[in-house]
Amino acid sequence: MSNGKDAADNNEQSGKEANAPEEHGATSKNEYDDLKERMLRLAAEFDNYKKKVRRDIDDAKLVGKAEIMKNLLYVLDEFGVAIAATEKQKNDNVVKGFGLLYSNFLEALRKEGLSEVQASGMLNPYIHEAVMTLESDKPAGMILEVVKKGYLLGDILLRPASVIVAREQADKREDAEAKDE
Amino acid sequence: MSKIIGIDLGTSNSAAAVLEGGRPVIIPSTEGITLYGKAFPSYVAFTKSGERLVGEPARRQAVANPDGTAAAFKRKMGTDFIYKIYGKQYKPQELSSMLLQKIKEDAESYLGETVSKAVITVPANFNDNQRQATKDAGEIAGLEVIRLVNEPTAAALAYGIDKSNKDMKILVYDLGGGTLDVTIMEFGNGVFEVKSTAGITELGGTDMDNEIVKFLVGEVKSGHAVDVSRDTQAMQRLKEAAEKAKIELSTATTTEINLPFLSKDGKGDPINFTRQLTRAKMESLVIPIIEKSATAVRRALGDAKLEASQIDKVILVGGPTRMPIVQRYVEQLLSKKVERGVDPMEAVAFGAAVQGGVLSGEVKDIILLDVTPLSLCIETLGGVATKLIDRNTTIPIKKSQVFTTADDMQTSVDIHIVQGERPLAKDNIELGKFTLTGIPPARRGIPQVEVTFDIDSNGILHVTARDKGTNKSQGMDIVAPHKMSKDDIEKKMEEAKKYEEEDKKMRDLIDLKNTAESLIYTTERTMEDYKGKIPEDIEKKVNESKDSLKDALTKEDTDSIKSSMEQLKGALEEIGSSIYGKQHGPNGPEGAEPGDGSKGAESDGGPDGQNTTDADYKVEK
Repeated sequence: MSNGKDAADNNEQSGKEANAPEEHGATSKNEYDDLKERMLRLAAEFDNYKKKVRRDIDDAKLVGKAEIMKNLLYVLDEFGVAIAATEKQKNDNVVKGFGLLYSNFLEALRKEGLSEVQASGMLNPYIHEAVMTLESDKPAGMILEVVKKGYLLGDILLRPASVIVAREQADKREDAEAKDE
Repeated sequence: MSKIIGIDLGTSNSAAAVLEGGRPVIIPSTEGITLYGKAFPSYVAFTKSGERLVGEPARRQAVANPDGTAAAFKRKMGTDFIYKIYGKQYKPQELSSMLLQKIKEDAESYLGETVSKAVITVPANFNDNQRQATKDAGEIAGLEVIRLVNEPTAAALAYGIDKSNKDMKILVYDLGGGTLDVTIMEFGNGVFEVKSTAGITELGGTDMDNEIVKFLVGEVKSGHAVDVSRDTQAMQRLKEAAEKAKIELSTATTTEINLPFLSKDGKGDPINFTRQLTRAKMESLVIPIIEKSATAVRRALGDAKLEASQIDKVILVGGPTRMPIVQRYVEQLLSKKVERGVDPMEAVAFGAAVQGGVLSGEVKDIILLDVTPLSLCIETLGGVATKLIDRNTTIPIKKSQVFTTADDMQTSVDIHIVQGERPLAKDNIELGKFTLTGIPPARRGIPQVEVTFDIDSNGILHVTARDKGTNKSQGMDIVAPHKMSKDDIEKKMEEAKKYEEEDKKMRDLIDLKNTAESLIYTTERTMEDYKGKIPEDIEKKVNESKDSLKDALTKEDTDSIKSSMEQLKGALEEIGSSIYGKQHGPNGPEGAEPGDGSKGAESDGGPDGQNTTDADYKVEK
């Protein structure tokens, strides 16, 4: 409580300083207004803070989940490439078993809200990342191949899909000036 | 007073921060997860259809839309360079303003209020034109640039160097994704003065990543005779693995890279790539790059006419400086420990936010709030100290709790106020005592006595006890209840720690005893209520169990109290089933009560303790 006492002492001092009689009324009025203003602002800030805390708790749950999911994506990727690499032996029972294992794993994650980013049609930089372009007869910006799947948790993007997109054919290319250096 | 945000407007990445409760936090991008923020790439792009993209989305489509994407335009600030994008012309400050506008929007959605003022950081070697262009970028974005701060100064502010009253010479080593900047500053009388700057524009973390990937590609080649450098998918995975390994090796000394089915060999068989990477190996790959920075450091020292030994503080900025090898290298080069404690990726934005806080008056406007150094409690059944206000609670504060009586026909309660962390009242500091009388006679557990602790802003504790039935109340004021020196408080806390275990045992015993007593009370009431309806054999059994419980209670033997309680509960259930066929076991309805007038609550209690579990009170709010 020592602070409380110190504060009181300070007030006394500042009271003395502001003791010019004609100014005294104005000073305390100012001080009152100032304090009231500060109090209201503090109350408002606190109210907003309470709302933010509530929001933060919800977010924290989601972020915690998202972090775990992100780490699992590597394993998911590897499952994917493993399945693709064993395409030829897909009638082998062990390989089949692994296929089932993969789909069970994926299903469990889906139940937690994981979904794959749709990666067809035109490039959407909000969910896709272009890693390469290739010349093609498809329109420029069309997704040609998914290099790495993207994933969403609810509507949070955990990772964009890495894609190869069609490039404009050289002859059609506009003569854009060099822009950046 | 609206918030002034701090912006680190970087060549490859930008970030913004704001003071919240006196501490800087990075403002999250609206397209990201909202709980925490991070830097975003300084990219602006326009699609053919005229849509504008800023930050992460702009970077993601850069490969597919090179003509429509602009990056690193900070390097052109203050020049007459014009970016021509799809027939339109943009000045560098216009592109920068688009980054700032995104930041403004993110900040507004994060803070829920309009943001119109900012502190923006610039490289220490920016000239007047470049500074003006940065200001212009702010104005275009609708932000009033309250101040431009040099990036190294902002980093120093993030470390709170301005708060020290000593004069000192500071070296800031800023290694980003693609550039190195070394700045030497002198701090004195609250002012930072730049003495020299030196830099290398083509040196950074990207080079290091490339080296590691190159090494891994070589390993795949030597192990599996396959060149994966043209396999896009394999290269993606190697890049990711390199990044992950780099981060892991910042804390661990070895890491395992496992990439199953990385690619296919000549026969079409899958390649499983596994490689253990040690920190030493990784460091040997990147050290040649780091060593290049020595020239810049020496040049900066030379220009400032200083010896390495004259530098007082070394501050690291930029993601790659998180690597232990970079820290070690700089420490070796300057024979001085680097400052730690602030994320080097965030230091500049943090410092800008701190400067913003100072300018908006927020920093000095912080009201110093006092807290209660120790918990404030009242004594309840069994001598337990029941906390009403926990330690470290900010004052002023008011808290109430409802208690009840311990005995039938009890007409007064003692309010015994103590301060401390130990679970038993007698081990804590006594503050005061009064008695609330005139409670109408009733069975135990019926009266409701509301006890209120109210600490005002002067630290005076007002205690009132009010009988909710009659509204009769009694109270006392305790002036400066914890006028204790820091040492005394420390001592008390230590004591509580020391006796923690013992106290917990004691506290558990008291809880158990309270529950047992309550069970005995219930038993007696039940016997009385159903007098004559209880079969004789059951009555006998109940009485026997009750007596053995009473006996166990006087002996304070935990195990036998527990077993006797079980026995008694079983016997009681038999009463129930014999009457209704299925009455539930009696769970004591009572709670604790303030030390009651008749009995006085200081009856038992062994030694001391803390770590209380809440007692069995009846609390009604």
